[in-house]
Amino acid sequence: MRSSSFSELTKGIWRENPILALCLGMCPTLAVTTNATNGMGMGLSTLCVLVGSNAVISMIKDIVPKKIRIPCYIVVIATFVTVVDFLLKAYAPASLYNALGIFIPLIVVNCIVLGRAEAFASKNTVYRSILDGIGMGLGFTLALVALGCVREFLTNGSLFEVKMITPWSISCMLPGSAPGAFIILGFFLAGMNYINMRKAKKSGKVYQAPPDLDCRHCNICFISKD
Amino acid sequence: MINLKKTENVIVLGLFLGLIGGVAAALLGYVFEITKEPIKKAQMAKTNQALKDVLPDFNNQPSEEILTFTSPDAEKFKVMFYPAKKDGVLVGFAGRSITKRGYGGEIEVMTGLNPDGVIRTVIVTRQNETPGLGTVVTERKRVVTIFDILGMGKKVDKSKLPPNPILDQFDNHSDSPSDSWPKPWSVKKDGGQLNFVTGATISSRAVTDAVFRIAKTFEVEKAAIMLKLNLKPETK
Repeated sequence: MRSSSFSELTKGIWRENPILALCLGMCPTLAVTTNATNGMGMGLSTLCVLVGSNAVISMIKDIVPKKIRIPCYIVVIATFVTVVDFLLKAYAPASLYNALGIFIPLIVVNCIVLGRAEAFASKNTVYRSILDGIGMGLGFTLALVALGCVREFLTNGSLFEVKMITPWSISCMLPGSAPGAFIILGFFLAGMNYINMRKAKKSGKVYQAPPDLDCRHCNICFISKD
Repeated sequence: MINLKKTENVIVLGLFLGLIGGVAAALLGYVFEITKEPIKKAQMAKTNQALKDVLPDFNNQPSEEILTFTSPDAEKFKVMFYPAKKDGVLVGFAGRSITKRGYGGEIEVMTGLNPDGVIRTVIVTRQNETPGLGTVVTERKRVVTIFDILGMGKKVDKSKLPPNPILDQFDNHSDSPSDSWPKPWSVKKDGGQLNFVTGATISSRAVTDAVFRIAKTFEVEKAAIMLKLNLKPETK
Protein backbone atom coordinates (compact mmCIF):
# COMPACT_ATOMS: atom_id res chain seq x y z
CA MET A 1 0.00 0.00 0.00
CA ARG A 2 2.80 2.32 0.96
CA SER A 3 4.68 1.96 -2.30
CA SER A 4 1.48 2.20 -4.31
CA SER A 5 0.38 5.46 -2.70
CA PHE A 6 3.87 6.78 -3.25
CA SER A 7 3.52 5.98 -6.93
CA GLU A 8 0.19 7.89 -7.02
CA LEU A 9 2.20 10.87 -5.93
CA THR A 10 5.12 10.46 -8.30
CA LYS A 11 3.36 9.32 -11.45
CA GLY A 12 2.25 12.87 -12.22
CA ILE A 13 5.80 14.14 -12.13
CA TRP A 14 7.23 12.02 -14.92
CA ARG A 15 5.32 9.00 -16.24
CA GLU A 16 1.95 10.74 -16.52
CA ASN A 17 3.15 14.34 -16.51
CA PRO A 18 0.08 16.39 -17.45
CA ILE A 19 1.89 18.49 -20.04
CA LEU A 20 4.67 16.31 -21.35
CA ALA A 21 2.91 12.94 -21.34
CA LEU A 22 -0.81 13.65 -21.33
CA CYS A 23 -0.58 16.89 -23.36
CA LEU A 24 -3.41 18.42 -21.33
CA GLY A 25 -3.89 22.09 -20.55
CA MET A 26 -1.93 23.43 -23.49
CA CYS A 27 -3.69 26.81 -23.44
CA PRO A 28 -2.38 28.06 -20.07
CA THR A 29 0.90 26.25 -20.69
CA LEU A 30 1.74 28.14 -23.83
CA ALA A 31 0.28 31.44 -22.68
CA VAL A 32 1.84 31.89 -19.24
CA THR A 33 5.29 30.40 -19.65
CA THR A 34 6.86 33.57 -21.05
CA ASN A 35 8.93 33.60 -17.88
CA ALA A 36 9.66 31.19 -15.09
CA THR A 37 7.96 33.24 -12.37
CA ASN A 38 4.61 33.23 -14.18
CA GLY A 39 4.91 29.51 -14.86
CA MET A 40 5.48 28.84 -11.19
CA GLY A 41 2.52 31.00 -10.13
CA MET A 42 0.18 29.34 -12.61
CA GLY A 43 1.44 25.88 -11.63
CA LEU A 44 0.94 26.46 -7.92
CA SER A 45 -2.55 27.93 -8.36
CA THR A 46 -3.51 24.92 -10.46
CA LEU A 47 -2.03 22.64 -7.79
CA CYS A 48 -4.28 24.21 -5.13
CA VAL A 49 -7.38 23.89 -7.32
CA LEU A 50 -6.49 20.33 -8.30
CA VAL A 51 -5.99 19.11 -4.74
CA GLY A 52 -9.19 20.80 -3.55
CA SER A 53 -11.37 19.63 -6.40
CA ASN A 54 -9.97 16.09 -6.34
CA ALA A 55 -10.65 15.83 -2.60
CA VAL A 56 -14.22 17.13 -2.81
CA ILE A 57 -15.10 15.11 -5.90
CA SER A 58 -13.87 11.86 -4.41
CA MET A 59 -15.91 12.69 -1.29
CA ILE A 60 -19.13 13.20 -3.20
CA LYS A 61 -18.53 10.54 -5.84
CA ASP A 62 -20.92 8.08 -4.20
CA ILE A 63 -23.91 10.38 -4.11
CA VAL A 64 -23.54 12.23 -7.42
CA PRO A 65 -25.97 10.78 -10.00
CA LYS A 66 -24.05 9.42 -12.94
CA LYS A 67 -26.13 11.38 -15.44
CA ILE A 68 -25.16 14.79 -14.11
CA ARG A 69 -21.69 14.10 -12.75
CA ILE A 70 -19.86 16.34 -15.24
CA PRO A 71 -21.90 19.50 -14.44
CA CYS A 72 -21.45 18.75 -10.74
CA TYR A 73 -17.69 18.44 -11.16
CA ILE A 74 -17.59 21.68 -13.13
CA VAL A 75 -19.44 23.50 -10.34
CA VAL A 76 -16.98 22.16 -7.76
CA ILE A 77 -13.98 23.14 -9.89
CA ALA A 78 -15.37 26.58 -10.73
CA THR A 79 -15.97 27.23 -7.03
CA PHE A 80 -12.40 26.36 -6.17
CA VAL A 81 -11.04 28.49 -8.99
CA THR A 82 -13.08 31.50 -7.91
CA VAL A 83 -11.91 31.06 -4.32
CA VAL A 84 -8.29 30.94 -5.48
CA ASP A 85 -8.95 34.03 -7.63
CA PHE A 86 -10.32 35.98 -4.64
CA LEU A 87 -7.46 34.88 -2.40
CA LEU A 88 -4.81 35.81 -4.98
CA LYS A 89 -6.45 39.18 -5.54
CA ALA A 90 -6.47 39.84 -1.83
CA TYR A 91 -3.14 38.49 -0.66
CA ALA A 92 -0.77 37.91 -3.61
CA PRO A 93 1.75 40.56 -4.69
CA ALA A 94 0.27 42.88 -7.29
CA SER A 95 2.79 41.90 -9.95
CA LEU A 96 1.87 38.21 -9.69
CA TYR A 97 -1.85 38.93 -9.91
CA ASN A 98 -1.30 41.21 -12.90
CA ALA A 99 0.51 38.42 -14.70
CA LEU A 100 -1.88 35.61 -13.78
CA GLY A 101 -5.15 37.49 -13.54
CA ILE A 102 -6.54 36.58 -16.93
CA PHE A 103 -5.40 32.96 -16.72
CA ILE A 104 -6.96 32.09 -13.37
CA PRO A 105 -10.52 31.84 -14.77
CA LEU A 106 -9.09 29.59 -17.47
CA ILE A 107 -8.26 26.94 -14.87
CA VAL A 108 -12.00 26.17 -14.83
CA VAL A 109 -11.78 24.75 -18.32
CA ASN A 110 -8.27 23.40 -17.89
CA CYS A 111 -8.48 19.81 -19.04
CA ILE A 112 -6.13 18.62 -16.31
CA VAL A 113 -8.53 19.47 -13.51
CA LEU A 114 -11.64 17.98 -15.13
CA GLY A 115 -9.58 15.12 -16.53
CA ARG A 116 -8.28 14.09 -13.11
CA ALA A 117 -11.76 14.48 -11.63
CA GLU A 118 -13.29 12.16 -14.21
CA ALA A 119 -10.42 9.72 -14.65
CA PHE A 120 -9.15 9.45 -11.10
CA ALA A 121 -11.02 11.19 -8.29
CA SER A 122 -14.40 9.77 -9.26
CA LYS A 123 -13.06 6.24 -8.86
CA ASN A 124 -10.63 6.46 -5.94
CA THR A 125 -10.58 7.26 -2.24
CA VAL A 126 -10.11 10.76 -0.86
CA TYR A 127 -6.59 10.00 0.34
CA ARG A 128 -5.42 8.68 -3.01
CA SER A 129 -7.18 11.49 -4.87
CA ILE A 130 -5.38 14.11 -2.82
CA LEU A 131 -2.05 12.38 -3.50
CA ASP A 132 -2.92 12.27 -7.20
CA GLY A 133 -3.80 15.98 -7.11
CA ILE A 134 -0.52 16.90 -5.45
CA GLY A 135 1.47 14.75 -7.86
CA MET A 136 -0.26 16.04 -10.96
CA GLY A 137 -0.05 19.62 -9.71
CA LEU A 138 3.66 19.27 -9.01
CA GLY A 139 4.25 17.71 -12.42
CA PHE A 140 2.35 20.56 -14.05
CA THR A 141 4.29 23.15 -12.04
CA LEU A 142 7.66 21.56 -12.84
CA ALA A 143 6.86 21.38 -16.54
CA LEU A 144 5.68 25.01 -16.58
CA VAL A 145 8.76 26.21 -14.71
CA ALA A 146 11.06 24.26 -17.03
CA LEU A 147 9.36 25.66 -20.12
CA GLY A 148 9.32 29.14 -18.58
CA CYS A 149 13.04 28.97 -17.75
CA VAL A 150 14.00 27.95 -21.28
CA ARG A 151 11.78 30.57 -22.91
CA GLU A 152 12.84 33.34 -20.57
CA PHE A 153 16.51 32.50 -20.92
CA LEU A 154 16.36 32.40 -24.71
CA THR A 155 14.38 35.66 -24.79
CA ASN A 156 16.70 37.87 -22.78
CA GLY A 157 19.18 35.74 -20.89
CA SER A 158 17.45 35.90 -17.55
CA LEU A 159 15.96 33.37 -15.15
CA PHE A 160 13.17 34.23 -12.68
CA GLU A 161 13.57 37.84 -13.89
CA VAL A 162 17.21 37.90 -12.83
CA LYS A 163 19.60 38.55 -15.65
CA MET A 164 22.17 35.74 -15.86
CA ILE A 165 24.21 36.98 -18.79
CA THR A 166 24.77 40.69 -18.45
CA PRO A 167 26.02 41.56 -21.94
CA TRP A 168 22.75 40.15 -23.38
CA SER A 169 21.09 43.42 -24.28
CA ILE A 170 18.84 42.68 -27.25
CA SER A 171 15.82 40.56 -26.51
CA CYS A 172 15.02 37.78 -28.92
CA MET A 173 11.32 37.81 -29.72
CA LEU A 174 10.63 34.28 -30.95
CA PRO A 175 10.87 32.19 -27.77
CA GLY A 176 8.67 34.65 -25.91
CA SER A 177 5.89 34.59 -28.46
CA ALA A 178 3.26 31.94 -29.18
CA PRO A 179 5.03 30.26 -32.16
CA GLY A 180 8.20 29.96 -30.10
CA ALA A 181 6.19 28.37 -27.32
CA PHE A 182 5.00 25.64 -29.69
CA ILE A 183 8.50 25.05 -31.01
CA ILE A 184 10.06 24.75 -27.56
CA LEU A 185 7.22 22.56 -26.32
CA GLY A 186 7.90 20.31 -29.33
CA PHE A 187 11.51 19.94 -28.26
CA PHE A 188 10.38 19.09 -24.74
CA LEU A 189 8.00 16.39 -25.98
CA ALA A 190 10.65 14.98 -28.30
CA GLY A 191 13.17 14.88 -25.46
CA MET A 192 10.68 13.16 -23.17
CA ASN A 193 9.91 10.50 -25.81
CA TYR A 194 13.60 10.02 -26.55
CA ILE A 195 14.43 9.37 -22.92
CA ASN A 196 11.52 6.97 -22.51
CA MET A 197 12.43 5.08 -25.67
CA ARG A 198 16.09 4.79 -24.75
CA LYS A 199 15.12 3.52 -21.33
CA ALA A 200 12.87 0.89 -22.92
CA LYS A 201 15.53 -0.13 -25.40
CA LYS A 202 18.10 -0.61 -22.66
CA SER A 203 15.82 -3.05 -20.91
CA GLY A 204 15.12 -4.80 -24.20
CA LYS A 205 11.52 -3.63 -24.67
CA VAL A 206 9.64 -1.48 -27.14
CA TYR A 207 8.35 1.78 -25.75
CA GLN A 208 4.60 2.05 -25.55
CA ALA A 209 2.48 4.72 -23.96
CA PRO A 210 1.22 3.58 -20.55
CA PRO A 211 -2.00 1.63 -21.15
CA ASP A 212 -4.06 3.91 -18.91
CA LEU A 213 -3.18 6.94 -21.02
CA ASP A 214 -4.59 5.84 -24.35
CA CYS A 215 -7.97 6.60 -25.81
CA ARG A 216 -9.68 3.49 -24.46
CA HIS A 217 -9.12 4.63 -20.93
CA CYS A 218 -10.80 8.02 -21.31
CA ASN A 219 -14.57 7.90 -21.49
CA ILE A 220 -15.41 11.56 -21.92
CA CYS A 221 -16.42 10.82 -25.52
CA PHE A 222 -18.91 8.21 -24.33
CA ILE A 223 -20.77 10.33 -21.81
CA SER A 224 -23.93 10.50 -23.90
CA LYS A 225 -23.92 6.77 -24.52
CA ASP A 226 -24.27 5.46 -20.98
CA MET B 1 -35.04 5.23 -0.74
CA ILE B 2 -34.01 6.02 -4.26
CA ASN B 3 -30.58 5.13 -5.55
CA LEU B 4 -29.07 8.53 -6.18
CA LYS B 5 -26.19 7.18 -8.16
CA LYS B 6 -28.36 5.54 -10.80
CA THR B 7 -31.45 7.70 -10.75
CA GLU B 8 -32.85 9.01 -14.00
CA ASN B 9 -35.65 11.02 -12.41
CA VAL B 10 -35.33 14.50 -13.85
CA ILE B 11 -36.71 16.19 -10.75
CA VAL B 12 -34.20 14.45 -8.47
CA LEU B 13 -31.38 15.29 -10.86
CA GLY B 14 -32.47 18.94 -10.99
CA LEU B 15 -32.76 19.16 -7.22
CA PHE B 16 -29.33 17.62 -6.79
CA LEU B 17 -27.72 20.04 -9.19
CA GLY B 18 -29.54 22.87 -7.45
CA LEU B 19 -28.21 21.68 -4.10
CA ILE B 20 -24.62 21.57 -5.38
CA GLY B 21 -25.06 25.04 -6.87
CA GLY B 22 -26.50 26.34 -3.60
CA VAL B 23 -23.61 25.01 -1.52
CA ALA B 24 -21.11 26.47 -4.00
CA ALA B 25 -22.88 29.85 -3.95
CA ALA B 26 -22.90 29.94 -0.15
CA LEU B 27 -19.19 29.13 -0.02
CA LEU B 28 -18.37 31.77 -2.62
CA GLY B 29 -20.45 34.36 -0.79
CA TYR B 30 -18.54 33.62 2.40
CA VAL B 31 -15.11 33.88 0.73
CA PHE B 32 -16.20 37.06 -1.08
CA GLU B 33 -17.17 38.63 2.24
CA ILE B 34 -13.90 37.81 3.99
CA THR B 35 -11.69 38.87 1.08
CA LYS B 36 -13.63 42.05 0.25
CA GLU B 37 -11.62 44.29 2.56
CA PRO B 38 -8.15 42.90 1.67
CA ILE B 39 -8.98 43.18 -2.06
CA LYS B 40 -10.03 46.80 -1.62
CA LYS B 41 -6.86 47.46 0.37
CA ALA B 42 -4.68 45.79 -2.27
CA GLN B 43 -6.22 47.94 -5.00
CA MET B 44 -5.82 51.08 -2.87
CA ALA B 45 -2.21 50.14 -2.22
CA LYS B 46 -1.63 49.81 -5.94
CA THR B 47 -3.03 53.28 -6.64
CA ASN B 48 -1.15 54.75 -3.69
CA GLN B 49 2.12 53.24 -4.87
CA ALA B 50 1.57 54.77 -8.32
CA LEU B 51 0.79 58.13 -6.70
CA LYS B 52 3.93 57.94 -4.57
CA ASP B 53 5.96 57.20 -7.69
CA VAL B 54 4.84 60.29 -9.59
CA LEU B 55 4.27 62.86 -6.86
CA PRO B 56 6.54 64.72 -4.46
CA ASP B 57 6.16 64.07 -0.75
CA PHE B 58 2.52 64.39 0.34
CA ASN B 59 0.53 63.58 3.44
CA ASN B 60 -3.11 63.84 2.40
CA GLN B 61 -5.21 61.12 0.76
CA PRO B 62 -5.26 62.16 -2.93
CA SER B 63 -7.58 59.29 -3.90
CA GLU B 64 -10.28 60.79 -1.67
CA GLU B 65 -10.23 64.18 -3.40
CA ILE B 66 -10.30 63.13 -7.05
CA LEU B 67 -11.39 65.78 -9.56
CA THR B 68 -12.83 64.27 -12.71
CA PHE B 69 -13.07 66.05 -16.06
CA THR B 70 -13.89 65.12 -19.62
CA SER B 71 -11.05 65.58 -22.06
CA PRO B 72 -11.51 68.57 -24.39
CA ASP B 73 -11.10 66.51 -27.56
CA ALA B 74 -13.32 64.39 -29.79
CA GLU B 75 -12.84 61.21 -27.76
CA LYS B 76 -14.19 62.63 -24.49
CA PHE B 77 -12.29 60.31 -22.13
CA LYS B 78 -12.35 60.72 -18.40
CA VAL B 79 -9.33 62.54 -17.00
CA MET B 80 -8.83 62.37 -13.26
CA PHE B 81 -6.67 64.61 -11.16
CA TYR B 82 -5.47 63.59 -7.71
CA PRO B 83 -4.44 66.69 -5.76
CA ALA B 84 -1.47 66.07 -3.47
CA LYS B 85 -1.00 68.29 -0.47
CA LYS B 86 1.63 68.52 2.18
CA ASP B 87 0.36 70.04 5.42
CA GLY B 88 -2.52 71.60 3.49
CA VAL B 89 -0.33 73.19 0.82
CA LEU B 90 -0.81 71.99 -2.74
CA VAL B 91 2.41 70.34 -3.97
CA GLY B 92 1.21 68.76 -7.21
CA PHE B 93 -1.31 66.71 -9.09
CA ALA B 94 -1.38 63.21 -10.43
CA GLY B 95 -3.29 63.09 -13.69
CA ARG B 96 -4.73 59.80 -14.84
CA SER B 97 -6.25 59.03 -18.22
CA ILE B 98 -6.42 56.42 -20.93
CA THR B 99 -5.93 56.08 -24.64
CA LYS B 100 -7.46 53.49 -26.91
CA ARG B 101 -4.73 53.77 -29.52
CA GLY B 102 -2.39 51.18 -28.01
CA TYR B 103 -1.38 48.15 -30.02
CA GLY B 104 -3.10 45.91 -27.48
CA GLY B 105 -6.06 48.20 -26.81
CA GLU B 106 -6.26 50.54 -23.86
CA ILE B 107 -3.26 52.06 -22.14
CA GLU B 108 -3.68 53.90 -18.87
CA VAL B 109 -1.08 56.45 -17.88
CA MET B 110 -0.48 58.45 -14.75
CA THR B 111 1.52 61.64 -14.80
CA GLY B 112 2.82 63.67 -11.91
CA LEU B 113 2.24 67.39 -12.45
CA ASN B 114 3.59 70.38 -10.60
CA PRO B 115 0.90 72.78 -9.37
CA ASP B 116 1.42 74.81 -12.57
CA GLY B 117 0.85 71.79 -14.83
CA VAL B 118 4.47 71.00 -15.73
CA ILE B 119 4.98 67.26 -16.03
CA ARG B 120 7.25 65.66 -13.41
CA THR B 121 7.07 61.97 -14.20
CA VAL B 122 5.07 59.70 -16.47
CA ILE B 123 4.25 56.09 -15.66
CA VAL B 124 2.02 53.57 -17.41
CA THR B 125 -0.35 51.93 -14.94
CA ARG B 126 -2.20 49.54 -17.24
CA GLN B 127 -1.23 48.21 -20.66
CA ASN B 128 -1.49 45.18 -22.88
CA GLU B 129 1.31 45.83 -25.38
CA THR B 130 3.49 43.24 -27.08
CA PRO B 131 6.09 41.95 -24.60
CA GLY B 132 9.56 43.01 -25.67
CA LEU B 133 8.40 45.64 -28.18
CA GLY B 134 5.52 47.77 -26.94
CA THR B 135 6.56 47.22 -23.35
CA VAL B 136 9.88 48.92 -24.07
CA VAL B 137 7.83 52.10 -24.32
CA THR B 138 5.59 51.48 -21.33
CA GLU B 139 7.71 49.72 -18.74
CA ARG B 140 9.99 51.23 -16.19
CA LYS B 141 11.85 48.15 -15.18
CA ARG B 142 15.02 47.84 -13.25
CA VAL B 143 17.05 44.97 -14.63
CA VAL B 144 18.29 42.75 -11.83
CA THR B 145 21.40 40.80 -12.73
CA ILE B 146 23.01 37.82 -11.10
CA PHE B 147 25.79 40.15 -9.91
CA ASP B 148 23.30 42.25 -7.96
CA ILE B 149 22.14 39.20 -6.08
CA LEU B 150 25.72 38.22 -5.30
CA GLY B 151 26.31 41.80 -4.12
CA MET B 152 28.81 42.64 -6.85
CA GLY B 153 26.67 44.93 -8.98
CA LYS B 154 26.58 48.69 -9.08
CA LYS B 155 24.66 50.39 -6.31
CA VAL B 156 21.35 51.77 -7.53
CA ASP B 157 19.06 54.25 -5.82
CA LYS B 158 15.97 52.16 -5.17
CA SER B 159 13.85 55.13 -4.08
CA LYS B 160 13.93 56.54 -7.61
CA LEU B 161 11.96 55.14 -10.52
CA PRO B 162 14.01 53.29 -13.13
CA PRO B 163 14.53 55.50 -16.20
CA ASN B 164 12.71 55.00 -19.48
CA PRO B 165 14.00 57.20 -22.32
CA ILE B 166 10.56 57.42 -23.97
CA LEU B 167 8.54 58.25 -20.88
CA ASP B 168 11.21 60.61 -19.54
CA GLN B 169 10.92 62.85 -22.62
CA PHE B 170 7.76 64.43 -21.25
CA ASP B 171 9.42 65.67 -18.07
CA ASN B 172 9.44 69.45 -17.63
CA HIS B 173 6.95 70.06 -20.42
CA SER B 174 3.36 71.26 -20.28
CA ASP B 175 0.58 72.36 -22.59
CA SER B 176 0.88 76.01 -21.56
CA PRO B 177 1.50 78.54 -24.37
CA SER B 178 4.97 79.26 -22.98
CA ASP B 179 6.11 75.68 -23.61
CA SER B 180 8.48 75.24 -26.53
CA TRP B 181 6.90 72.08 -27.98
CA PRO B 182 4.52 72.38 -30.95
CA LYS B 183 1.01 71.15 -30.17
CA PRO B 184 -0.45 68.60 -30.30
CA TRP B 185 2.59 66.59 -29.25
CA SER B 186 3.55 63.89 -31.70
CA VAL B 187 6.40 61.50 -32.44
CA LYS B 188 9.16 62.32 -34.93
CA LYS B 189 7.73 59.91 -37.47
CA ASP B 190 4.59 62.06 -37.63
CA GLY B 191 6.62 65.26 -37.91
CA GLY B 192 6.68 65.90 -34.18
CA GLN B 193 9.44 66.32 -31.64
CA LEU B 194 9.35 63.09 -29.62
CA ASN B 195 11.65 60.12 -30.00
CA PHE B 196 9.97 56.76 -30.43
CA VAL B 197 10.96 53.11 -30.34
CA THR B 198 11.45 51.59 -33.77
CA GLY B 199 9.02 48.72 -34.10
CA ALA B 200 6.76 50.16 -31.43
CA THR B 201 5.61 53.35 -33.12
CA ILE B 202 1.98 52.62 -32.28
CA SER B 203 2.73 52.23 -28.57
CA SER B 204 4.87 55.39 -28.62
CA ARG B 205 2.06 57.33 -30.31
CA ALA B 206 -0.50 55.98 -27.84
CA VAL B 207 1.50 57.03 -24.79
CA THR B 208 2.05 60.48 -26.32
CA ASP B 209 -1.69 60.72 -26.98
CA ALA B 210 -2.59 59.86 -23.38
CA VAL B 211 0.01 62.17 -21.81
CA PHE B 212 -0.99 65.04 -24.07
CA ARG B 213 -4.64 64.46 -23.14
CA ILE B 214 -3.80 64.96 -19.48
CA ALA B 215 -1.64 68.02 -20.16
CA LYS B 216 -4.28 69.61 -22.38
CA THR B 217 -7.12 68.88 -19.97
CA PHE B 218 -5.13 70.49 -17.19
CA GLU B 219 -4.45 73.56 -19.31
CA VAL B 220 -8.14 73.94 -20.26
CA GLU B 221 -9.57 73.17 -16.83
CA LYS B 222 -6.88 74.91 -14.77
CA ALA B 223 -9.25 77.57 -13.46
CA ALA B 224 -11.92 75.02 -12.61
CA ILE B 225 -9.43 72.83 -10.75
CA MET B 226 -8.14 75.71 -8.67
CA LEU B 227 -11.69 76.86 -8.01
CA LYS B 228 -12.66 73.40 -6.78
CA LEU B 229 -9.66 73.35 -4.46
CA ASN B 230 -10.50 76.86 -3.23
CA LEU B 231 -7.23 78.24 -4.54
CA LYS B 232 -6.71 81.27 -6.71
CA PRO B 233 -5.53 80.49 -10.23
CA GLU B 234 -1.85 81.13 -10.57
CA THR B 235 -1.00 84.29 -12.38
CA LYS B 236 2.17 84.39 -14.35
